[in-house]
Amino acid sequence: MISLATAAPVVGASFIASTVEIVEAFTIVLAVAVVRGLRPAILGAAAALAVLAIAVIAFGPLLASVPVHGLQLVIGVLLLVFGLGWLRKAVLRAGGALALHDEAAAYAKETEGLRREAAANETAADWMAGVAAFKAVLLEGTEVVFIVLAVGARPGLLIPSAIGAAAACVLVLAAGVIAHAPLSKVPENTLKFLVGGLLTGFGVFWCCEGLGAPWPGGDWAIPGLVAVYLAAGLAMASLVRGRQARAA
Amino acid sequence: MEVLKALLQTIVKMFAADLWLSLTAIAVVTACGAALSAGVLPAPILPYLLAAGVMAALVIGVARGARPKR
Repeated sequence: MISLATAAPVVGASFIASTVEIVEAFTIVLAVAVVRGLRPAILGAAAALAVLAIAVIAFGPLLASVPVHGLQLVIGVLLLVFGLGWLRKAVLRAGGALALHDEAAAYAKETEGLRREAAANETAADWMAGVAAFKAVLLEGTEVVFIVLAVGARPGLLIPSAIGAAAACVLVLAAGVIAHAPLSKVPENTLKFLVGGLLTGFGVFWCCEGLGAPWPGGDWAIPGLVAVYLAAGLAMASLVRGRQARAA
Repeated sequence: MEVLKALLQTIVKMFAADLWLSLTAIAVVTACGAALSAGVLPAPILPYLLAAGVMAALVIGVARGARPKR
């Protein structure tokens, strides 16, 4: 039986991380649909999803063949490196040291690029638009697949992890269909900050388990670790903001 | 070919967007593991030391990123 302390952070991490990635992919697919119509957008996105599904079916079972401690350590290090990267970037963005990601600007840039390509080569315009949708879904989807497999790499956790990602997919698509515009109101940096904290907490926990020195309190240590890294991230963002204000 | 190149870049970016931070985190885990294997570090202390090392790496990574660009 999976405890709530284990399942809740897994579903949460998978859901929030997937939301960030799916919003970014949706922006490009929407630009393709608006400029060249639904056909290349849907075909490109569907082809990328098929490639991702084949990769998961092909490589997923390999995880089961790796010894548990070795797997925990490898996945722990990968989660740690990935999570720290996101947390650092989110802290720097929140502190004003890096520019925030702007979904509306990304949409405008993609739309403009597709129109320019279509004007230069009308016969291949649909093909190029389909490739753009394919690339966006494949690249953002690769990150979703990694997160779902990594946070769900313990026995019984793959389904909660996949449920988190599927819920994010449904939510983003529903919001996108209703809004029929890039989802620029999604607080991307806040979500990235949360995911960074979650994945860093998971990473530290799993590394310790993989090294054979588990945390006291077992799975309950995960929410504690996440809270510590998020609190530190908030404090650092505030310090960076102060420093940026003084420098301005 | 272009898609494969972009995919490879995405995977590299996932784990090495800040190479210094990634290598430091890996070094912290490696050092903790080596100290545990050598019997220098007691197992009950390792989780706290590893968490503190990761925190230090994050703090330095943020400080490096916040430095004014010349």
